[in-house]
Amino acid sequence: MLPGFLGITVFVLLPYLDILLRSFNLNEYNRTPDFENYKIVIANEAFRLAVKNTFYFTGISIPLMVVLSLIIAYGISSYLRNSWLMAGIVLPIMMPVSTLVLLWRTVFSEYGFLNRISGFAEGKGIDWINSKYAMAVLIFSFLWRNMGYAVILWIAGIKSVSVEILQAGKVDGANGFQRFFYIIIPNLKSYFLCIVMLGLVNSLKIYREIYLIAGEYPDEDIYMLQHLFNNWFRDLKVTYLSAGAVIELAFLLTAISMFYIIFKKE
Amino acid sequence: MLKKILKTVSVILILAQIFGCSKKDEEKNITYYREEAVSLPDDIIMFHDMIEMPNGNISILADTKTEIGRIFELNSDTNSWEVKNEKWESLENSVPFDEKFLEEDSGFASVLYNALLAESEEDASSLRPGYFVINKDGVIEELTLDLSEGYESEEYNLFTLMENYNKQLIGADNAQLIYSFDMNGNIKYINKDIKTLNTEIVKMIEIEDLIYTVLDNGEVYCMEPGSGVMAEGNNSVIEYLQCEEEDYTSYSLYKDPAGGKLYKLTKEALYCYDLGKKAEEKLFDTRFYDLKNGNNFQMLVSKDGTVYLSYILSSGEIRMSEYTYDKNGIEVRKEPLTVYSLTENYVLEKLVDAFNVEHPDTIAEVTYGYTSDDGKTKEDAVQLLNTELLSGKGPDIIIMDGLSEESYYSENMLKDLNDIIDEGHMQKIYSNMLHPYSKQEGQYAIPLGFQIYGIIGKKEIVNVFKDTDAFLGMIEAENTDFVISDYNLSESANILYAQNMSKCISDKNVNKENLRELFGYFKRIYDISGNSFGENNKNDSLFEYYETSSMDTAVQWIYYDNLPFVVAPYFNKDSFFAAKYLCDKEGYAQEYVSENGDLVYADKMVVSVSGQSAKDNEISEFLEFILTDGQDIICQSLQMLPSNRDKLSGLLVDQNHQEPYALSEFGYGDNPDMISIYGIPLNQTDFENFEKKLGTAKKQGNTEINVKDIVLKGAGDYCLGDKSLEDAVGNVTNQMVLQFKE
Repeated sequence: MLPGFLGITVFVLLPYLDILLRSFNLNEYNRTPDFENYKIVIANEAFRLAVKNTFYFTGISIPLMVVLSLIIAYGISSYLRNSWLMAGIVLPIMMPVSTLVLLWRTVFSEYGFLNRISGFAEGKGIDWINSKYAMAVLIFSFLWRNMGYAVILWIAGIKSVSVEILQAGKVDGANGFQRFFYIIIPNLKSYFLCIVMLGLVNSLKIYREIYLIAGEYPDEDIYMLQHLFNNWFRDLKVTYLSAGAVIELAFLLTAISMFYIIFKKE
Repeated sequence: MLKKILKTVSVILILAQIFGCSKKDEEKNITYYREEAVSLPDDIIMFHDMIEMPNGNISILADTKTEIGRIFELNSDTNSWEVKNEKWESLENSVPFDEKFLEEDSGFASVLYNALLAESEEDASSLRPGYFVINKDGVIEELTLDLSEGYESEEYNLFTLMENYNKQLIGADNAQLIYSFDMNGNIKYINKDIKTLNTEIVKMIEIEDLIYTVLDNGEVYCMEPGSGVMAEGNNSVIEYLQCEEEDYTSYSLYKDPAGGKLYKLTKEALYCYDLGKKAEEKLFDTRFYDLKNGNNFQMLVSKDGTVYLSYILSSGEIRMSEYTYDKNGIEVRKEPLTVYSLTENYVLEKLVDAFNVEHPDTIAEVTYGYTSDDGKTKEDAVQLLNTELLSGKGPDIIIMDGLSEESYYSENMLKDLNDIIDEGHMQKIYSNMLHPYSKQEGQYAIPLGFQIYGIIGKKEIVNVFKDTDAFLGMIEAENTDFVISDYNLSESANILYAQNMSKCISDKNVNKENLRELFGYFKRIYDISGNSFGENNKNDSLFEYYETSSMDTAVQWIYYDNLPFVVAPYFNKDSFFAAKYLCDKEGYAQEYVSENGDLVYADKMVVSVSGQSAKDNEISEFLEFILTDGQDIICQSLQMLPSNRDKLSGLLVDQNHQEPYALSEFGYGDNPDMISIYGIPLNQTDFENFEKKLGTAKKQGNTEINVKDIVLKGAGDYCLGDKSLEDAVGNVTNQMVLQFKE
């Protein structure tokens, strides 16, 4: 346990402590913490826009992912037990981000596949990634890439539900719909927690795709917290970056803690 | 117990982080080879080869100002050079390409035979390389080498001798064919294998009866010297000889005559490979010696193990040094002064080389953020630089071109240069050029150079240049072919940007109306250019190739095509001279890009000092150098004008020579009629008038790379029809607004 603990201390806790100190302007010359950076960051328009977009993206994509993957998982586990199908669902996770970016450019650019099949003449189509539909494209990309592992986890959860309970429910007259909602779902809480946590972490990684497709300054609708942090790092606004990172972590920890408390109570 | 240990370790680590135990001690380096300069004979202009004589003296084969192919021997008793050969009179009118020792008293020379006797173009075009075996007694023997299988144009094909093996002359031609000739010039064989590999030969050396040919693609080709047939070489030798592509300018090999050791010089170090023991040893690190600034190395290792190296510095000076082993070791200079530039900068390299020659006790090194062949992007380079700076391991001096100096200043990453540089040096720089980098009475950067933008053309066009709409209207009305074409489209866009962009942004607010107008101007010049890019030749960045050539080159189109105007930056003296000639003698007019009556300039090579650097003395030396003697290098660079008032005056003004003279010649096609571009130096009055404008000039705004890139990219999308005007302007506005909000 010691090596692991040392590793976490050196590579996680200590750097985080450094960020925390910087966010309060604490250094060898200043021993008095101040909240100036936090005030500036919270008042910063770019930060507010990024937070809004990040919340919006996370708030839509994770519930969608949870629900859709659950439906697919139930369908697969109940009716379509096929290992090839399972492999196909997991395939997007293994795709490198650069390949994915190439794929989306092929599909969503103004000369792309989507414009062609939707009837736009070449060159007059919509640049989906740089339009008001950018967020929809992003959510689609996230779902396409991340549903696989959620489906796998749901399937594992569904299969862990005791067969006897299901049969008992059937005997008691519950139909498929009722068995799903009143027997299966309540038994999937821990899997739900795990999928949401992983989804939350993966939702933050969407930055890579956006950056590769649209650069440092994408369409306003898909300007995320990571864009801001990346640009602040480029401009050496480390204290703002630190404050922003602490705020983001505080939100994440709060959200995770809330989930944990809710599910632990139940 | 374990828990206590863990707690203690954690606390120690946390405290160490808080109190900053990451301070770097100054490092000292030890080397075991002592470097001493060897003074060369007077008047040497080219150093070709060296050899150790049977008596242990060193002989060199070199050209002087008046004679080629002189053999000098260094008398070890008197420590003086003695000429050892008779003059080769039949070669006295030839221009040498290369000379090599074959043995102690004979050599091989390739020359452009009787080149100095050519009096006409016809004579010059009939010159051919000549090959000779040359002897100490003055006798020369011409070899007729048949190189017809090589390069298509025989007159340009040159045989380079690389190895003399058992009286066989083995070498290669321009087409990378390997030839072997006997001492009478008869071909023994031709090896065409290298030609098929599409690479170039770096060096050739004979080792244990095989010829190893080092290629610039990193491979080593092996063949039998007698037959030219490919052979399988010794793998460990091959591995030792392999050369990284970027290394080959410094790459040199030497095999001791006894055949036991093989020496290899690369950019990093001198190595020795023991052929018997099959062991490699690093003898010394080149960065501790003067030779690290050199190129075109010749190497010799004498029987007593002394290493002799000759090289040429970037200033053209030829040097020779000897390196002798000292078992006690020598403490060498500390870590080098690192000078960082985001992109490759030839002027900076010359400045650093010149500084190192003048200050041998202080090593300065140039490091680049990214280069054209390292696969990195600008974003990668900036991230790495910032990471290094934040971790305390950043460079000492930073060239701010392409970086956001405001960011580095506001994060206290830069030092106040007033504490480092003498006030007298600062006062020689135009104060308005220093002003953008002055904050709270501190000076945190200095621009070493600058450029301005302008137009030369017919008076009626130049008179309306300041009003872009009227200017473009006049060009459209003229309807002259090629007045804006794909050759100058980017430059024209760059000038429009310089002239109009400040109206589009004010106080970090984007004026969409003016931005639409600017995009309209871009579209108009694109239309004038004839849409030469068209549907089939789309370019992601339509306007990306700007500031590639100065006004003195741009005026070619006035001379050649009689264009009504040209627009270009001025970044060398010839631009001003060419403009003065056209205005004074040919009736043209000129105007500079200005804003609200003030000249607009862009600065170059903005130098700042990292706040973390502790090398104050070395930095002070370096900055003083670049603000004094270094300004001469900037003047010679042809890539920027010096920001030093005295140097600029010295560069542009020549009161005593006010007659036109040819600055350069140009011509197009296979056999062009060459056209001269004329220029007249400025006189004192011209300079004073110009300086009045320069003294109040404003730094071009919105030159942050991100902003310019975004605008030009968006304009390109609009011009090519990829986006409508509203979409293009909207996109660009959103991106800029985001940037300003940050």
